[in-house]
Amino acid sequence: VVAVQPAARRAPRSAQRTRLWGALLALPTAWMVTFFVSSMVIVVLLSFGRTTNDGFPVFATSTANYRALWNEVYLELLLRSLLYALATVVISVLIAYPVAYAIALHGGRYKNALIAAIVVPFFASYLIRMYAWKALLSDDGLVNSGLRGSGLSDGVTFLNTPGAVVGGLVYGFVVFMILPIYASLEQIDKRLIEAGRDLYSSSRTAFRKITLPISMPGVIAGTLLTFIPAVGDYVNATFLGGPNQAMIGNVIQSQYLVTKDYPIAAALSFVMMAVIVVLVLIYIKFAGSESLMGEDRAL
Amino acid sequence: MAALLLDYDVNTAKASELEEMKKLLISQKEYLRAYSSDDINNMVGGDAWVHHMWSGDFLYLQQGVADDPTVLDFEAPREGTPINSDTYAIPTNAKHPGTAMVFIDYLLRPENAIKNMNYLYYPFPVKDALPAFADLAKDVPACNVEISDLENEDVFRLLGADEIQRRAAMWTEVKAS
Repeated sequence: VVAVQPAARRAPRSAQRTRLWGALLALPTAWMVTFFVSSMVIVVLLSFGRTTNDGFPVFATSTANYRALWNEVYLELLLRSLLYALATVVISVLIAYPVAYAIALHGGRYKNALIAAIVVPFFASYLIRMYAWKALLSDDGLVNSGLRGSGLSDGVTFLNTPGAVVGGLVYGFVVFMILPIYASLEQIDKRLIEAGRDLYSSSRTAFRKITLPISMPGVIAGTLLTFIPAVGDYVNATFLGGPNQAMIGNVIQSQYLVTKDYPIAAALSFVMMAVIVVLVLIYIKFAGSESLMGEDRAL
Repeated sequence: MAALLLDYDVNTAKASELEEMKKLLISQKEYLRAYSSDDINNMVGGDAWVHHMWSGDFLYLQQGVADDPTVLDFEAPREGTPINSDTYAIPTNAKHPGTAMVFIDYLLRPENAIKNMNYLYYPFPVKDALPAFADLAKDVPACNVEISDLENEDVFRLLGADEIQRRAAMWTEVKAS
């Protein structure tokens, strides 16, 4: 039972309040339209464009770029990217939930220090951290030197494997899973759990019936926050992947920056975004938009 | 390199030739750890023992990074070596083209070209600076580039957008498959 609070009590809004909200929203809206929507529009328009013979992208009304993408190679890339992102989400939940749970419910006065300890490493540039991973996991890197030194193993080939790419993605994005789960667990009224225990539930049942449902909005938000960037990531596959781990982001990146064929890169970006949007919509429908809204209600 | 192995022009963009190159590059994937251009890091980290790399990267690796330079060597394949040149260029819309010209002149003075070569490990086409490069590459003759090498047919040319696109599409398929 998740009756945290009675359904929202809506006070009728005065015209003055509506105007205030409108004024407050004006700046972010202007910002998003200028920098976000407009660049999206350019990407979509350019995806129907072509590249002139001297290498400049021009707008047009051709569907040639999309037809060029109708190729099993791109399908395979997209599927591989989705699979890696899915693995990233699953592993991230498995790591993030216990961490967030321990900090939120048993962190005591160290809560903030522990959260800072998780967040601070992420202040370093993503690229630098991935380079560090590459150096750590190299055949002659720190991890392998340690393994050889301790006699545990003759060395493990970490780099250029799917495991390294997914591992890098998890490392890169796990914080986006920990924080929302922490935020939802932190709000739990501990008296609910105590009440459950008073009614003779085992701690496992109390977790399953009280803690888990209340923290689901955090898990769902974390899933979206890790899945979406993981699908489009190219840094991990570049540094940690091998000949068979290219992701869709690698192709988009090289079409934009190496080949400089903006129209086809735009078409590829648009297809990827469309696929992600569809998947996210399906996910939200099944995960229940209500539990997403639940966070608002608990406030 | 695939073009040279198959005896094609290194700048080829012919569909039939690209198809053969694609097959060759995909067929050797099972023997490779990666297609990577992060050559120096891969060699230093011990992840690659044999690497496809530019001559200047090799000289930098050997003389500027490696603990033991004697264990490394550079071989130019007998099928040929692609040659590429970076250039100093002044954009047509540059605000101070004259100043840029003066700066390029400064960079091309032999004493400054030598400093740059000792940092970049690539030869500069400056007559009085070339002996210094020959000295830098004295243990690795394959890295020594003569001006006559630039007349070689394996020099990368500037290709048209459609040619680049066809070559890139082939490479994408190689990487993705």
